Formats: sequence, structure tokens, C-alpha cells
Amino acid sequence: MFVKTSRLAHAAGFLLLLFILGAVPLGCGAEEQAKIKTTDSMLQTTEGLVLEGSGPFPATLLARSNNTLSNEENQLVLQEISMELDKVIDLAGQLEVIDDHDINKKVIDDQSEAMTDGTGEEVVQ
Amino acid sequence: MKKKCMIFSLVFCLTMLLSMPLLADGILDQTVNAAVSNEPITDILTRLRDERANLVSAQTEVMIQANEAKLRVEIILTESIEQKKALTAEQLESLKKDLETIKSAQDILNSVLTDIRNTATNYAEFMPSREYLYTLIKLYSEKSLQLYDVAKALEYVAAGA
Repeated sequence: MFVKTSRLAHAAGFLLLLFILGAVPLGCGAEEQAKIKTTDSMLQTTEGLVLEGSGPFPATLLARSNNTLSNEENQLVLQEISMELDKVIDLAGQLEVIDDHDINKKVIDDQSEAMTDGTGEEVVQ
Repeated sequence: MKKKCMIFSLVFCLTMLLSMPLLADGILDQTVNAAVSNEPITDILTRLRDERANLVSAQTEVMIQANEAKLRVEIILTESIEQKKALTAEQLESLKKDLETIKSAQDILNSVLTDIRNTATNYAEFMPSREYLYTLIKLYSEKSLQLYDVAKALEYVAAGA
């Protein structure tokens, strides 16, 4: 009886050890997969908000709720789309501002010039 | 004793087998890092300038396509006002898709802006280091691709496709 119990304990211990050894690296992978899944679901949520959500998007809601809109509603939809495109242009414009005032730009350019002239300070590596 | 030896070797083999992908990643990283750290700093700076120029070019493309799309919407709006004619169901469906594309473009642009700002702020103290320059090159490269995707999507809106 004692021998049987001892064997069982050994077997259980061995299985536990295998489980731990297998679970650690697999656990890392599972975490990454979980991250990917979360990102996916976030993307889906974002897409959902754009199309299906009840958020502040009257143009979409108007367009979806009724395909026979009045002239005024038509114009409202088009004006809103135009305004949304203005936002896109504005955002893209902000990227230009970042490039112009990029805090790194002057430093990088100065370093490049110094390097090509052979007169500049050594760059920290 | 034999059994213990067998179990030990089995566990050892299993551990090695499971840790193989992790080890391989480490070795690969080390090789890449070694190759990267030997790159002359002038080359890195040249690459950085190229990537930044590419980013600006992508950003310009986004603005061009967004302006084209706006032009198209304004033409439809003007026609709608002049002819006092309601939009067809097909036109509305198309506009809904356009709106979805535009909203998605805004999200991407916002994230591009945030990422560039954050990198500039968080890594500025490491400025002259290779690590920072590589970070910027990677960032500009990734963001340029995203911006070209946005420009492509807006091109479809401009074309009314």
C-alpha cells in the first residue's frame, strides 16, 4: 500500500514538474496572444464606434436611419463629411509642425554637418 | 537509480526543447545588435534624414488626398443645393463608407502624432545615442507606412470609389 502511494506521489510530482516546465514558456506565448486578442477587440470596438455606435455621429446615423433624406439633411450630411475632412487636413498639418519644430532636427542636422566637415564633436555611441 | 536518471534526462530534454525558441530569439537579437552597432554614425544619420523626408512626403500625400476628397464632397454639396435633388440611396451608402474611412484616418493620424510626440519627449535625453537614432528611424519608417495607407484610403474617398 505504502509503495503504491509512494509511486503515485512520484508520478504526480513528475507530472507537476512537467506542467510547470511546459507552462512557463507557453505562458509567455499565451500572454502575447492575449495581448493580440485584446488589440483586435479594441480595433473592432473602434470600428464599431465609427459605424454602429450611438456616439456623436449624426451624419452616419442620419444616413443609416433613412435613405430618403430631405435636401437639408443631405446638405447636413455632406457638410459634416467636409468638416471631418477638415479635421484630417488639420491633423496632417500638425505633423508638419512637428517636423518643423522637431526638437531633434537641429541637433541631428548639426551633428551630420559636423561629421561631414570633420570638425564637429564626437557623437556619443 | 536508472529510473531517476531517465526521468532527469527526460525533463532536461523537455526543458531544452521548450526553451529553444526563446534561446533562438536571444541569439538572433544579439547578432542583429552586433551588426547594427558597427554601422557608422554618418550612415545612421543619413538613414534618419531619409526616413524623415519619407514621413514628410507621406504626410503631404495625406493632405493632398484629403483636400481632393473635400473637393469631391463640396461638388456633391453644390450640386445638391443647385439642383435641389436628394441624394440617392447608393450615394448615401457610399458617403457612409467615406465617413468610416475618414474617421479611421483621423484615428490613425492621432496615434501617429501621439507616438511621434511621445518618442521625442521620452527619448530626448538619449538624443545623441545610436539607440535613440535607431528608435527614430524605426518610428519614422513605421509611421510613413501608416500615413501612406491613410493617403491611399483617402484617395478612394476622393475618387468616390
